[in-house]
Amino acid sequence: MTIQIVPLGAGQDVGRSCILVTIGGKNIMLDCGMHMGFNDERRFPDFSYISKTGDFTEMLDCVIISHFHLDHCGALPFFTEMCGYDGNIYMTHPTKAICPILLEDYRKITVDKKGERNFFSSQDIKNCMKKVIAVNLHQTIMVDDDLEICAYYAGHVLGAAMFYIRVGEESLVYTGDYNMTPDRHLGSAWIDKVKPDVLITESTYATTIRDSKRSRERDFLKKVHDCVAGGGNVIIPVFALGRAQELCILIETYWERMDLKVPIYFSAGLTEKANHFYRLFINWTNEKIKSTFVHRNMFDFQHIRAWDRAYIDNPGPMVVFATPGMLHSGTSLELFKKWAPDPKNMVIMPGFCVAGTVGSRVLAGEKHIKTDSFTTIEVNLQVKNLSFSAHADAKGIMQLIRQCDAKNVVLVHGEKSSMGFLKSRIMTEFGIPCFDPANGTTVSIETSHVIPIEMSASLLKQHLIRQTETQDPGMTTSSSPEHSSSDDNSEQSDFKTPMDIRPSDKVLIQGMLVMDDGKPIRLEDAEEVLEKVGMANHKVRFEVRKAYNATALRRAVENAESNESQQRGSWAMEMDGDSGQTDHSYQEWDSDRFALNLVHIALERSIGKQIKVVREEGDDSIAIRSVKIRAPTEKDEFERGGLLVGWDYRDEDLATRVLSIVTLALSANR
Amino acid sequence: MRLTSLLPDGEPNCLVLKVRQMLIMLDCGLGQEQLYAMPVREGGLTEDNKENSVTATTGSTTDNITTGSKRKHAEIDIRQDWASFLKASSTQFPSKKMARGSNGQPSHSSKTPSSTTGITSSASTSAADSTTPIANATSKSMSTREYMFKLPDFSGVDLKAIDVVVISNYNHILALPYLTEYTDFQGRIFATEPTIEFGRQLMIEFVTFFGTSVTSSPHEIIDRKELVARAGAGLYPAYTHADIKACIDKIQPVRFREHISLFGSLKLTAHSAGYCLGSSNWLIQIGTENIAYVSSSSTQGNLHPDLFDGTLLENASTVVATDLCPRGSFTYNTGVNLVCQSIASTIAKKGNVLIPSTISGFLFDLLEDVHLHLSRMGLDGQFQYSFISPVADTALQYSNILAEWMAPRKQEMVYIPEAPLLHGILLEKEKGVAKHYKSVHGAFSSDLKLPCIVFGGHPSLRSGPMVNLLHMWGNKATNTIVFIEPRMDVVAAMEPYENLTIAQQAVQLDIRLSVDQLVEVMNKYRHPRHVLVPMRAIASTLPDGSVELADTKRTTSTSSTRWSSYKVGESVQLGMGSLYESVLLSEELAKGILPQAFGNVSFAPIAGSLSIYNNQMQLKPASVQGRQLLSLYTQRLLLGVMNLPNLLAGLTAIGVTNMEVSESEGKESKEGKEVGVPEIKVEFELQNQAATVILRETETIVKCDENIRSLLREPILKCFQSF
Repeated sequence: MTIQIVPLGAGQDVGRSCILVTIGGKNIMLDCGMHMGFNDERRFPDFSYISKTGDFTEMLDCVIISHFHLDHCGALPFFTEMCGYDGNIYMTHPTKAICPILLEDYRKITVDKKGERNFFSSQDIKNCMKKVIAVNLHQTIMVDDDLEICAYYAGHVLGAAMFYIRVGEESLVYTGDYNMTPDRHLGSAWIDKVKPDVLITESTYATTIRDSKRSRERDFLKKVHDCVAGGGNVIIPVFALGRAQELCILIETYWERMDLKVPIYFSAGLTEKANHFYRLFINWTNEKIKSTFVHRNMFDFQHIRAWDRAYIDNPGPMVVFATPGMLHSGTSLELFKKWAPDPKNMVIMPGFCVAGTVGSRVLAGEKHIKTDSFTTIEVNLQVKNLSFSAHADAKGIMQLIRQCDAKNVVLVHGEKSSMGFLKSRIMTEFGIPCFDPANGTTVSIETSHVIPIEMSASLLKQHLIRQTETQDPGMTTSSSPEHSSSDDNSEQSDFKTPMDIRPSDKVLIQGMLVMDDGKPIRLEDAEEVLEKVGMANHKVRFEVRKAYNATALRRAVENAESNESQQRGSWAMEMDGDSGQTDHSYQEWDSDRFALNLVHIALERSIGKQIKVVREEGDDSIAIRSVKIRAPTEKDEFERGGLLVGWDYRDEDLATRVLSIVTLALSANR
Repeated sequence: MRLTSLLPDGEPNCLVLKVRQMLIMLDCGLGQEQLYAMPVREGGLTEDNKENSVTATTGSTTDNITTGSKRKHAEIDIRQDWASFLKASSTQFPSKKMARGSNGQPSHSSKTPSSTTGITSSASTSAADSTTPIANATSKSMSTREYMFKLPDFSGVDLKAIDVVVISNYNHILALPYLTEYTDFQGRIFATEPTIEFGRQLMIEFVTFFGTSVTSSPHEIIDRKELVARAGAGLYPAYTHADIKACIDKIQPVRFREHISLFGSLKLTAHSAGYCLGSSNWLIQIGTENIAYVSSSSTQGNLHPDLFDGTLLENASTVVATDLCPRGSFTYNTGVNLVCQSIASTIAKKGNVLIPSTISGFLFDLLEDVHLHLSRMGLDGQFQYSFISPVADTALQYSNILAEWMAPRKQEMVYIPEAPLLHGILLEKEKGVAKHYKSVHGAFSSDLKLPCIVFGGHPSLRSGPMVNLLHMWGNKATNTIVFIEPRMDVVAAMEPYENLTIAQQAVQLDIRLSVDQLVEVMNKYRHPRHVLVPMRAIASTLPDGSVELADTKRTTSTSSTRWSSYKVGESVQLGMGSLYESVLLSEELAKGILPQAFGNVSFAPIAGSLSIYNNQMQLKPASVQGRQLLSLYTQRLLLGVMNLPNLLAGLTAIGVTNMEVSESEGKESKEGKEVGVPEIKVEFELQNQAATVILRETETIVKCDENIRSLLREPILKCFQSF
């Protein structure tokens, strides 16, 4: 079986995350984002890859949205309302609640301010959200009879989730964006050891290993404080929801502690609403906020007030949280334009900026930024880049791979250069294949296919008992039964190595698979099954004469013994008295008994440890289950000069083995 | 499979299920019936005052000083009380319990005839109370004496051996701290997040109402474990706040339809029960056996909790149904109007309404209906809602952040965003309409705006704010007490208040499944082999142990589904049929099998090595050594009947000529063993070696020389279907 992965977006890139996955015959779209760096058709993923005719509903089994950031859900209304996808869409409750607000916000900026057409409308967003099925964490959702999905906490923003997807025995984990270190309002990402065949992980910070959270926070606060102390204005571009809340909590507590009076504003009209979301979804924040919310809601800020455009001309200093976070439009861009020329002011870029946005150019250190053909911004203010983004760093990514025990890793949502570094690290550290496909290229991963069956508990028990009875450690892993001679064996029984004492993790099983239409395949005891079917069980017994040349055999044995006698006493002679009486004449010599002894020794040596070899009836026969070796008696119709070997056909395989040992034991060429 | 109930029918759930090697406890409730046998605790809420002053930042300094001295006073008090308690508890309380236990037990099921004896017994004990020298005549000392509780009957259970406890909702959790903190129980506990939180709140309420009045680390003062050991007669004092915390920390939170896999063979899944926030039914899967534990459930569609999820019944072979609604109860829809009317008429008369209830469950729905009704009646703004409970604040706020656990209708609210439950809006926006208090002391009386609708505990009316309020308002006929909690015994609860003139209205809303609804739900899905129901759900027992249900259709066992009952102190045994383990068959091994068809069924012999790794069993091809070993054990099978023409044809095909066929009618051999066995003997020569094939009805014997055997084998096997 094969799992195929095609990134339509976010392959060796950040922005418009959209990954197509084919697993167990199901097609799934993971995220449906848009690229903020483009204003043309490149801003949406290339959906024509899925279907040229537009029958997306038939092609895809479901769409899964990991969190509410626009680079993960921005193209969803376009896909459902304008491309016509009408199937299942899954996202968590907070994502479903917040996502339409951000979409609407973005739509306003694009359509109303820039006057673009051919863009989705408010109604489209509403219609789209109606199709969304909200999921809870850890809840297993059956999309259809075979496809199951389960969300895990990802910690990146409120409601961010990683998704575990399973079809039959094949499985996949898509992380979306995640954060392995808890922050002020969110917990850290966590996943069960689900052992996915493929882990598709973001790799935004593939090469960074960030310093401690505390020092970054201190750094951030110090910069802000220094700037306002010097009379400058601080602009912090953020998205209305998510990290903004964390920064607000941080600044709020700092202001309270330092008793600062400098006003703090939050630009988007969303603040109140956004905070209300956080209050209703307090279950999705971290434990600390959850446990204290009854007494003091962390999202009721005392020092932070709503921004009004009239304040822009107020004499400083002030701190303004302004949306959007990448300075590509809206209040943040307006404020930036206004304050950029003054070196006293400061911009703190807390997040990651998509290439092509004003934010990314500020980060790149450009001093003259052309926003459109008429405007150029002089950038004189201090630019501080704070890696404050709630993404997993290299250490975190490695940690997640270990946590879920992935068999393959696919890197997306990161820069190509840094991906290469992480890729080689993953391959050396875990010894598992790692891929970093570009957009539109397919990664195929072979998975071993297994079939779930049901095994009769009594059959298992029966085999377990057999295994303990035969007391053979060789079945585990270490020592092989074939190599242990009798001397080794005595040693082993005296000093058991820990390896031998360890309970075996492998049991040899024999049984009958029963395949009945519509019922699960079952593994049962063969005889019981056939009895149930009612077919007569017929016994076939073989009795064969094994001929040998008695005289030649004896000579050969004696020769061999005399050769060895100097080194050590013949254990063969010690073991049975008969062969010791070599002085007897050949006439009185019981050749059959001699042969039987030889055969017995040979059998004990070769298979005696795995199966009981019984010498019975006054030494006249050897029995191994139904296989019986004996000297012929008067009433047998066979001629003398041979041993009789008889067995039931059931033990055919055992008999074949025994016969070959007997042949070897009785051959004159020793 | 064996099921034992540890609490009588009608009480909260506490059952022990043994399936294969697993011991699973289904819920851990505390019997509530015993509360009615207890004396009323008045006042005695010093602890609440203290909490108020600690948490409320607005408290004046003088307040702090007074409560501080109060606390000191209380500590001295309690030491004396403990001493007196130790004497009292061993003598007085058990005897009281016995008195109640002997005649109180049956009095519950048939209320009217024996309730008189219940009253007399309690009257006599209260008389005894006043005459005991230890007990002062003041009610103050009454309040500080310890209540003693009878736990579920753990005596027959090896608590250490319990692997798992699952909790279905907060009603069935009260005895859990006893299990985790006072016994050698060391298993794991699972419950949904809201169940844990509401369970914790209920425990806190329980401790506040019925625990010792000093909660500041009683461990320092008296070793409770020793106390428990000395308690005797199976009576335990209430646990402490520290016990609650320790117990709650041991519970692992789960969500609906989250698969929990334990010990490799046990799988647990919680399914929404529709009864309250986070209420769950559990699917227990062991190997391939599925057992559905259906606890308090509701199919009522217009309530706030997530809807009943019947999918757990889809593959269940056994269903254990508990906590069914007794016959003749009010359903929510029939009762809610009565409640509204009763409240409205009281308010219109400027009377106060007391609603003894915990602040959870359908109360949130009732509140919406009551509020709507009162608004329609034009009574807006003429009254005030008060929620009085040590956990009122937490319960009200917490319930509103659980949108994921609510019905779709309520879920939609948070997308607006708006608080999904009405009380969120009442508390936030319409200030003054609804308020919550930790107790009747402090702010409650100063804020009080009459008329008032008070929700609070404890429903048994033995302790908590309702006791004080009954004293305040109980003697006015314009006030009304409305009983809505389904599990309570109104007559028993009101026993100590017989002389009060307050109007009583008992509309016990019961949203739990009735027997009829249970049958109906069960019929929607594949029929389970067994359904176990509590005693009160049955009308009569049939001779074979199966039962006739007390539903309208008088459902009895059918060939596919067998109904039977369980009751406290008796364990029910059920056969489970053959058991199977889930195993994964590797592709490599599967490729090599050769199935043979017999009608619709095909068979394929298979041999391999079963690896058990991380609790998952996978059957893979064996190693070379393994294969050699396997060959020693291989058992081959032949099916069919030997027939002579086939054999002769087969022999001819390998070049056998002149065969001699002789038939004998079971001649007697020398040993006399083979009496009457008819046989056919075929003698022939192959490659100049003599060979004989003897055919009997069920066996064939081949005698030949070793070197021609392999040649002979083929024609013989061809006569059969071989594996």
